[in-house]
Parts: sequence; structure tokens; C-alpha cells
Amino acid sequence: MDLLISLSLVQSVAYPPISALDPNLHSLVFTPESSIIQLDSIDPTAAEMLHTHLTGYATLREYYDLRDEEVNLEPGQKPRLRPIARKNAAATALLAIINSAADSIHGGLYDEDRGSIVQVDGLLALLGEAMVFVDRMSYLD
Amino acid sequence: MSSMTSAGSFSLVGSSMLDSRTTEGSSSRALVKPEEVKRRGWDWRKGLARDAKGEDVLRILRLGLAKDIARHWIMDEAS
Repeated sequence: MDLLISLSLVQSVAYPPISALDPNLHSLVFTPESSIIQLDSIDPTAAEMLHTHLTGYATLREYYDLRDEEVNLEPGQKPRLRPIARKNAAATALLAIINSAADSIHGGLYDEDRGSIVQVDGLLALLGEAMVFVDRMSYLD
Repeated sequence: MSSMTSAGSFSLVGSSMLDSRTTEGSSSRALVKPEEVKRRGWDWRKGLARDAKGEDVLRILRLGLAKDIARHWIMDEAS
């Protein structure tokens, strides 16, 4: 999961693209409940870990998919949200990931025991993604 | 990006998977280089110099956030 998150961050895109997701990963990302419930009956700790890591990866994908929704549309399709709402949703998702990635350096010192959804290494790339949201006269551009 | 997460988790930066010669045509080692082939809604790497560093990203963010906060203060005052 860390690898997928890192690859997505480096390429600034949801990796692998939806078309390339194998069925297992696809169901893990979009309908995690069944897999996690199954795993929970075997190993609750593992289920919890899987859940938190999946959440981070899924949220990061959600951020990129929201950003790219318009360019990836088939002709004739319309995006689910209007541009401003889409930007707001993307910003919210990104902020959640940033907060999680920064959790292990909360207060300025690195604490590797504070497990987080996304590793702090990716924080700079996430902050780079966040640059588009600051210092805008309006959210329309 | 440092490889601080040595305690059991994977860090892409120190690994060989980031080698541009082995990945399938994706972008080079420089983490601020834009990818030509992908279409994105927007690309945060555009508008940055090729040799932009982490400090530049942080500077832009800090300045932008300071401006945004100041703007909101002013608007709150006015209303």
C-alpha cells in the first residue's frame, strides 16, 4: 500500500489507473467492507491495519480522481460535481491526507510510533499538491 | 524527502524502484519534473522552475496561506 501511495504521489495521478486495477484491488479500494469484515474474523489487528492503510490510499486516489474528473470524461458524460464543489471536495480529501502524513511529526519532532495512514516521506509531494489551493483570488481558476 | 521511515515501512525514495531506467517510461528522478503523457486536471509542478526545491514549495505555501488568512481577516472586518 505504501508503494502504491508513493507511486501515485510521484506521478501525481491515481496509480494504477482505474482501467488497470485488478479485481481484488478494485474491490479493496471501492468496497473494502467485505474484505475487512472477512479478515476481521481471522485477524482483527491485521484488519484494522488494512483498514487504515486502505483509507489513506483510497482518499489519495479520490483526490486525484476528483482533480482529473473533467479531463477523463467520455464525450457526453458530465462530472458529478460542479467545478467549485469539486475543488472543495479535492481540497478536503487532500487536507485529510496531509494531516495524517504530518501526524508523525506533530509538534516538530519525528515519532515513528505514531502510525499514520500515509508516511511522512510523502508530505512534501502532498504539500506541493496543496499549492494550487492557496493564494487564489477566486476558486474559479 | 528523507528515508526516516526505516522502522518497517517502505520508503520509495531510497529504493531502486524510483530508478528511471527500470520504470515503464514514467518521469525521471527529479521529483519536480512534469509528466508529458498524463492528462491531469491541474499539475502542481507547472509554474515551478526546474531546479525548484522543497524550500521553494514551502515558501510558496506559507506566503499563499498568509495572504489567504489576511484576506479573510479583512473580509471579516468589513462585514
